[in-house]
Amino acid sequence: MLKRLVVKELRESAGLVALAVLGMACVLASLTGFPILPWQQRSEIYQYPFVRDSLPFYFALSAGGLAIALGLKQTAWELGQGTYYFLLHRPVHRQRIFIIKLAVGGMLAMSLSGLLILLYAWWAMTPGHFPAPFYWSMTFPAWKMWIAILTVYLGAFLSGIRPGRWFGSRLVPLAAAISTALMISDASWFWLAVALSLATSLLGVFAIFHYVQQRDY
Amino acid sequence: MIMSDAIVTKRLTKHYGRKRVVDSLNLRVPRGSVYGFLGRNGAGKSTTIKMLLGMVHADYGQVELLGEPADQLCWETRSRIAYLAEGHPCYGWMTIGEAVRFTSSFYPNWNSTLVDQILDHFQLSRRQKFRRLSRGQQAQVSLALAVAPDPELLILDDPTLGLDTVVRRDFLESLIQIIQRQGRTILFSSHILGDVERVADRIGILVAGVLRVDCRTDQFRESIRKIVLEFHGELPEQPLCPGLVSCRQVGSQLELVTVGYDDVQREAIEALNPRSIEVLDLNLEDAFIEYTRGPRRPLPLFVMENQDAQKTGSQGAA
Repeated sequence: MLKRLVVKELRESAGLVALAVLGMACVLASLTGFPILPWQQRSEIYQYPFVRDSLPFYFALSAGGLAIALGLKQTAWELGQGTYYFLLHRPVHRQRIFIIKLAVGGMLAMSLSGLLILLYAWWAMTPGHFPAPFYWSMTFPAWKMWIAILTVYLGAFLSGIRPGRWFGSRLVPLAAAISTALMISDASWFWLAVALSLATSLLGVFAIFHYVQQRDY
Repeated sequence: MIMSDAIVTKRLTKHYGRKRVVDSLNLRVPRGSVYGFLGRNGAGKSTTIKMLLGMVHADYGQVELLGEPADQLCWETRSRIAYLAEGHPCYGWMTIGEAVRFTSSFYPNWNSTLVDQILDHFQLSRRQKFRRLSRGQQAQVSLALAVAPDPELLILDDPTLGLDTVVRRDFLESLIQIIQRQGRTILFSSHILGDVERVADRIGILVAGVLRVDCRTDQFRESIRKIVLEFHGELPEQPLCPGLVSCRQVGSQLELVTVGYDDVQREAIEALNPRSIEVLDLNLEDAFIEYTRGPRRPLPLFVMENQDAQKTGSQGAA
């Protein structure tokens, strides 16, 4: 049963994941100067990887976009399709269904965005790619953004599951999550970013399970 | 051994905003019965069904399913309850085979043979995607998925909505076969009175969230009478008698619809001195329409606790 639920979530997210992989490949190609199309030529890279480059913008666009789309797809889409009526009366605890949703969605958002950073770091540290020294400490700001992705995903999930009078008020948790994510990315210390992310994630999960139990479907 | 009712609600109440959509609903569905749950659009049928299944939270009141409080159902009991939601929702990307495998993983007593039989009967291939099926085929797949766990209690929310006549008949005949298994209880809401007449042995009618009728189907049909009074000159005022549902003037005639036509009503009507009195039987559809149509007004209560009660409409106005 749990396996079927996991497979269902993966299957439903497949389209978004494919789109995100394509987008992230383009981001990586743009950052590394790798030609995507056959007639393109390898371009020179002048931006210092992880120190002064376009990663924050592209990362927010691709990984942030994926997190938001996944969170809303797993909740609001099911509400819109009416498939909760197919799923939620089954003999399984409602919380378990949503734990699986969160685990699959969170895992996809975090692993894909983490992979983007790792591949970029691998390119930057490989000799012959960029004429500058590479230290893992240079990637800390990127990892802070990565941590913030979880907050954004949970904010989108909460927006999808939380009832609201109109669309704007439903998006309040997502707006709050994006603001918090900016704070996490801008945190002066890595430990502070982790602490902020943990605190907001716990709050988000708590709120999600509150609405899962209390809302009308 | 005394068998408890399959469904019991006590003063079940739900508001949407300021509007009370279900009002102190006391419902009892005996085990083994087929209960037709009727009402006009917006009467509160779907909300009641969703409250039974925990999809919607009641503001007040209690629900018991198969003898257990609905909010504390153990998984074993929950697996003995099937639900067919309005519109037959399912994941459109799934093939029928995938939907069967997905649903079967939740139930320990899954009857694969029965699913195969139903799919064969309706000539459905397991490779067809759910979103590519017609509404009728989607209803057939949903029925197969609902009955495969061998449920004791089947709750269907307007299962024949949007189906053409032939598919509806096929669907109902399958339902009748399913009902024939002893002890199975079915509650289904519908707008199509012919369907209800074919399968339901009891009916409940919700009017503006209030259960106005709860009795045997034939008892309801037999208790609603249309009385046509012919007059010579000017028509008299509406007679004051218990159980009067509606009164309409048509030319020189006065058409009355009453519940439980009895001596008291006959005497009240004869006191009007009509030239002729004609008492007409109504079919279930006409009886339902006469009972529920028109502007919201107090209706004679018709909730029958005792199936063998002789008097049917003497509980007075709501």
